[in-house]
Amino acid sequence: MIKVLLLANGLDTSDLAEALEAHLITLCPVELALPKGAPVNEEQVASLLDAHSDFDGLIFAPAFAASGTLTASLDDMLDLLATSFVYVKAALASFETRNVSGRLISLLPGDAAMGDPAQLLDSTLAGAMLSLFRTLALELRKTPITANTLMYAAAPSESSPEKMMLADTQSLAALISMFLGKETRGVNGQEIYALGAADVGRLHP
Amino acid sequence: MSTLPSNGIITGAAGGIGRELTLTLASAGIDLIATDLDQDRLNDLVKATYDLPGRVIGVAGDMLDPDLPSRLCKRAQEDFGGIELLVNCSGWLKDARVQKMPVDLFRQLISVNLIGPLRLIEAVTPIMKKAGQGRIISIASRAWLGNFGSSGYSCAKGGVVGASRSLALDLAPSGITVNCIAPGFIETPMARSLPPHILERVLDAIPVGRAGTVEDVAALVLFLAGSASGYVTGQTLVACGGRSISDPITKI
Repeated sequence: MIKVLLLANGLDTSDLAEALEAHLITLCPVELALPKGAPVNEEQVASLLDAHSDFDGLIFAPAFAASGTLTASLDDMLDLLATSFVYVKAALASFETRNVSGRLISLLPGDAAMGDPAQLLDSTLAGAMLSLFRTLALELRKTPITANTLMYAAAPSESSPEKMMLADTQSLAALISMFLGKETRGVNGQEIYALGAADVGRLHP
Repeated sequence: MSTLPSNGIITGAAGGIGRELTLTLASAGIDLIATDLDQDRLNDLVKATYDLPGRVIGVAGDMLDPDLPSRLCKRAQEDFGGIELLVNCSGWLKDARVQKMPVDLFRQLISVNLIGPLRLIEAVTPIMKKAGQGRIISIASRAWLGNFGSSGYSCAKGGVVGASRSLALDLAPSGITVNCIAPGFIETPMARSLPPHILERVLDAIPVGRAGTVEDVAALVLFLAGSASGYVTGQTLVACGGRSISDPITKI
């Protein structure tokens, strides 16, 4: 089995975990995920990842569960990005120490990434994560580690209305499986829009 | 013939690109509230605009100060009666590979390059909405496409581009356009301070064979500020001498 850790907030990923099992991938939500106002503690994150020492990849899915005013949420934005960055650093250190071809995957809301007038916070966050992963991919170019981005479509979760549910978990699971494969080392810094063509005819960010 | 706004706010006004933008906009007759962290350089800038048709008022301030946006807006409304243009030009760059970048530095890069400009945009938009017109121009960076060694800066500029796409759609019905300019390597004091071996490598990677100039960026700002660009919104204009379509630099 391939083991992949998930850092997410505001996203119901239970269906994704089930879909990934069909690809022999175990999805492990990390205990200290990306809560609002999470303290950025590098030692804490490193020891948390040590507890999952055999993980093959890390999926980042930061999002704002509810829209709020920009000013009220800017500190949260900073914390979300900084926390993600700490996990990136810790994951890279773990991959390098273990000498494994680790995989970093950013899972972003496609409508927000394309630019959604009702989702300023998520559009900002998605833009920031996209660029972070592009830079990561360049820096990892000569290593066995890759960093890629997947855009998803989502709808409010039926079981937890405060959370968003992934719309097409089968496609996402197949793509995550592809990114995690040892044979896709050359797939690095890519961005796939799994939106059922909702992005076609629009300029990608 | 393009009609220009009569007034506006510009941040990072005393810096390399910001200074030239301020002089260009004031030369075109636009009254400006110009802000920068450096009081002395701001004073020097204001002096340089005395003979220009646009009036420039310097207001020193730190983009990390949450009260700065309201101060700038108040001053613009008191002195000019409104805000028709916002040019977000403040920026700060410090490079390090991801594994070597301290988290505090990453946070600082996000704060200066993303959080500060967003605060100002939020303060300015109600005023522009009320007036039924406005131009918001953010100086992003080609690093938004990914840039070796610039994770914090690149991440922040990507956030600015993402926010601008959302804002452009939200504000379009109010007569406000929101665009970004993504300059590549521009000849500024900050750029000239790079170690010679890095500078050489960067210049070698630019297809047109030269660094960009602040005038290259100013021309785009003037276009986006004017009425001729009223049908252009949510766009990121990349001015990088072709580097965005050539091989990336993968070592520094």
